[in-house]
Amino acid sequence: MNCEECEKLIWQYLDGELDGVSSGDLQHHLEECRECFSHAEFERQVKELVRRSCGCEQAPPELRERLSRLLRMF
Amino acid sequence: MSAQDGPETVSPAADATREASVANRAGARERFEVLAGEHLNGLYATALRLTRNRSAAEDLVQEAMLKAWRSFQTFQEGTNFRAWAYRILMNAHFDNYRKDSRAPEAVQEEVSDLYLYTKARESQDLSEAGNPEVQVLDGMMDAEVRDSLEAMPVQFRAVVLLVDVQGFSYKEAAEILGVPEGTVMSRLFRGRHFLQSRLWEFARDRHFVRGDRP
Repeated sequence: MNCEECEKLIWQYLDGELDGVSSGDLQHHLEECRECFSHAEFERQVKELVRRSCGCEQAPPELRERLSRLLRMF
Repeated sequence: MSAQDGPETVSPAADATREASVANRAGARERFEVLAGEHLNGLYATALRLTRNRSAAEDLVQEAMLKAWRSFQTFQEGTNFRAWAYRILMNAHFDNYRKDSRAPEAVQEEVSDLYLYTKARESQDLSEAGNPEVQVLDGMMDAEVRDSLEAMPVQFRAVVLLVDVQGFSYKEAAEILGVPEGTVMSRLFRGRHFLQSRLWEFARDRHFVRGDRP
């Protein structure tokens, strides 16, 4: 796998969506290519940043209580 | 036995059936509450980013959960409750969204081809201080990430929320949104480009503010 192919597949790789063979090829390339390795690492961090920033809100307790009450009415 | 007092006597068999159905319903409700309760935080966080408003997010989750409860009888044990609940949430959101918006949101927004990484690496200012890609992420604030995500057209945002924030697979996201997997991928990638170009604007502005640039 060359850098260009690796770049095209990086997101699918990080999303766990590549099949075993492609994933292995890409991993092998990352072990050999410092530039692609740091790019992949960067994309992984951005993905983590998005997850952390946008997924931490807790449902308000009032919503839980209201739902529980409403479920008994329907 | 009060049933024997009135003229409309209920047979013991019918009474037992009714009691059994009441007990079934209570049991189903208990199962539903446990399942819904486990996913309520994720559903609320998703609703909040979709509606961009706390009270609208609460209304959306409530609406979706009542819909889910009404069709819980048709829900097959062993199927993915979480994906099913998100599907109902997304459908409810897009139904409301279509009703509320007079003009559809422009999906063909200018999307930069350049990744944040490339931008950071190309930046003279960031490079001078060394490790530009580390700096660009280190300075990023959660609120900036949320603003960038919320600025995204809603079709892209929905996919990014499902895959990046909630960790669904492409296949699950496709089932939730009722679109082909290829559509999930193209929306996800365009969404990420969009997000990264916004994040870059924040990073660049911050850099100017700090006065690192003449």
